[in-house]
Amino acid sequence: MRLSLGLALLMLVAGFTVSARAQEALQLHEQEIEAGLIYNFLKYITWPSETSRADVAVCVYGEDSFINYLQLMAGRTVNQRRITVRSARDFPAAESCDLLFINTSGKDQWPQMMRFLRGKPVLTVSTIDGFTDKGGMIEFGRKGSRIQVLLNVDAAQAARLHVEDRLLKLVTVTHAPLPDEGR
Amino acid sequence: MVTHCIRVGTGILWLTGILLALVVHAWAADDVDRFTLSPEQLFNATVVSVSRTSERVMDAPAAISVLTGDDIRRAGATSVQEALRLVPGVQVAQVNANSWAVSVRGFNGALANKLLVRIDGRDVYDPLFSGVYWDIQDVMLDDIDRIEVVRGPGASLWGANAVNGVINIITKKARDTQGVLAAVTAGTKDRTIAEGRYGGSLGENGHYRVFSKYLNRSDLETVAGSSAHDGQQMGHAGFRADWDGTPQGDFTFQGEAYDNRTGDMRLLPTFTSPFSELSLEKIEARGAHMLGRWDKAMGEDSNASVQSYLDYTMRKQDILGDERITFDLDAQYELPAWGRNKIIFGAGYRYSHDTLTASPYVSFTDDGEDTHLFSSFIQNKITLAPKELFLTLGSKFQHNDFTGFEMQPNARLQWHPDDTQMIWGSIARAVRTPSRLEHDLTINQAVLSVFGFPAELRLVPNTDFEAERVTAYEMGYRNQLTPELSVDLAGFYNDYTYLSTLNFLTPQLISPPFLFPITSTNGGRGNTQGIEASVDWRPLDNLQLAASYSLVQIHLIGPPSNVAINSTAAIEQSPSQQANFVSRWDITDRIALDSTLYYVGAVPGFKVPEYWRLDMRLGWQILDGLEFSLVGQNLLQGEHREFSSPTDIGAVEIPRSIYGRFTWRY
Repeated sequence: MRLSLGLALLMLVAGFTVSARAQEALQLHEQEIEAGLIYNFLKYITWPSETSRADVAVCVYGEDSFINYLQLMAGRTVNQRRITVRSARDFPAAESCDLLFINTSGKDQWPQMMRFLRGKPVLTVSTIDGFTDKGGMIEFGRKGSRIQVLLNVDAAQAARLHVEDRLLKLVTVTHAPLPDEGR
Repeated sequence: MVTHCIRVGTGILWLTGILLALVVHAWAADDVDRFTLSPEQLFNATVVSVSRTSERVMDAPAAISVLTGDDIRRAGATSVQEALRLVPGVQVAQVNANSWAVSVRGFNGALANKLLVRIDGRDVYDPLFSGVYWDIQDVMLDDIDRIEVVRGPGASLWGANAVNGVINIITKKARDTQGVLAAVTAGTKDRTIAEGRYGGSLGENGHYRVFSKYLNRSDLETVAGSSAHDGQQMGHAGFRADWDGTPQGDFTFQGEAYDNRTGDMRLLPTFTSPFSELSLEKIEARGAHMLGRWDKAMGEDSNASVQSYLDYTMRKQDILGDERITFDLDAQYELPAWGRNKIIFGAGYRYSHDTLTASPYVSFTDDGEDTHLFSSFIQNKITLAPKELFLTLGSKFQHNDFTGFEMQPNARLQWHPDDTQMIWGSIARAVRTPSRLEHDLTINQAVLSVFGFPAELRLVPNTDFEAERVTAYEMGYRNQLTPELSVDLAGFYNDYTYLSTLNFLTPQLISPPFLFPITSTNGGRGNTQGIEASVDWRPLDNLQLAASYSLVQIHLIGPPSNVAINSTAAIEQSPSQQANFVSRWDITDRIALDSTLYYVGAVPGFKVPEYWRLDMRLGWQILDGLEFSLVGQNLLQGEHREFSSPTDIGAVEIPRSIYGRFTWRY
């Protein structure tokens, strides 16, 4: 009991004497942060001029409720292009997207899809572990309680996507040249 | 009585005040548009999780282990309790086909009472015996998002009886279980498990799932080689609906109902020679619950949540019938940072009513009882040095009908020398409040033969039984050495007082049947100490290796054996050393081979020798939506006992077993 009282007193004293205002970070759900970042990718990444259509297509491969978070950006404009959000059920549908999100359940199909998308200006984004090592462009991960973004610049370059410096400074840049198939 | 009314009144006022404050605040807070945030702001944002603390495991100043849904699947476990074998510091032993003994840091028993278990925020701890009936906690494994195991008293946030640990089972949000899932398991021990689930959406932000599961576990064999009549048939069905990210916050509604049939074999006392008779008991259990939760982010770093549930359980055994209804209301509020303080507080109320049915073996002082439990907590995480040094001070305050007011304070210090390392220490006090068993029940434990005459060993209630108490001292160290390699160490010293012992009262030896009354008293004290260590290593993209070791040493001092009968029994019911080695190997994109090797030290109380247990799983993704897995359990031995004496009539051997499972998703 004496210990309990001691602790209670300590709590009161310690809790209410220290009071310097600390700068606190925003707290958001993981999917909200990731959706926000995807919006910023559209803003700070340039697609090769030939695909500059009037709209920019954000797609989700496979069933994923993450699409609901992305839907919230549909209809907004970024760099004078209107955002559309849809789900891509197969590879041909994925090919016509500007940004393609692949969730972890698409892990098994990824190697095949990567070969299919080779050289096409589709920015691939995923939460799959080790995605950027396997030819993917952007991988969402965690560092502590913050979201970490890995960017495989070689893969992005091969797809003729240009990433602006402001974004490059924030992400973790990795290099993983695409394996040369040469067959 | 008057003071009781005042306390109750104060509790209700407290609660109303908090609810009011929450509601007012909820409508005042406005939403942030995620798409106007700069990349810098987003990179700096911290991730909120749905659990009570939004800290990631790595940053939590406690001995925490997390099992993900994937960990459970790859261990080849078919139940939550079997999956807990993976966690260091947790003792899991199968008693028979339908019963498990699970505890943390010692004191194991079939109804181990120093552990709090919650499923989606609902306590599944049975207040009649202060234990968990694991047979009815049958969660659909694919629905499990994660199981958080906190070793040591988590008392400042999680209520009473979390003396040695808390197990939080958290299921996935409905949006993560969309589409169709059908799974069939067939095997030698788990004879049939059939699961079906469908998830769809509800308007713009809503999702739901409905599921049902049938389970049939075979009878196991006794040591003597006959059937133990302990198989299990269970059916349950349920739903969960979530609305996420609405302007009013996140909402969850979920509910479930089950029907469970098991059995067991035991000797029941009689007053005629040989003073016991074999009983093949049929046990029926039924239950249902409904839960609602509201969660709302209040601006940048503040959060409010209110949760309520209604739970009905019924269990009918030959020795006792028990029907219970529980209502629980719980609210918590996380204040925005105030200077260096981050305060979170909450309050809760629980009403529980039980109706007991007596038998020739069990009787009680009153057959129905209303109990009221009021609780509140406050915790302050103080930043002593930004990003480096934090002190968390908190306490839970509780008022229960058996022992009145209980206070459970807790102080934790954490130091992050750099981004990858953390050192933490904690001092906490926790209590295990009395159960109805100790307070109200009279049980005919056994009839002994004294010179050929029957003598009853009778457990009588003790209304003065106090809460068991612990002061726990803990320290730990975690290091993410490289992205592929992490280590986690924890050490503890627990000092227990007021431990339950069964003491003899004055016997009645005038005429047969003689009577030896015994009662629960708080005559025991003692300490436990131990360590837990785990390593996780991903040497290759397709290979994960993990190992853990745990040690617990128990020292108890109770009244001598002529005064008490079980004062040091707990020493002998938990293995002092345990270890496990896990390997998960993705041979190709579609084929995986997983092995788990467990070592469990001897359990002298049941004459169980040390044993090694090997479980292996071969997983094959046949088509995109179709998976097959083949699992062999307990491969090294034909059979072994885990938690029963060879002389017990119902003592079973846990056999080598095998099962196959098809999972189809669409």
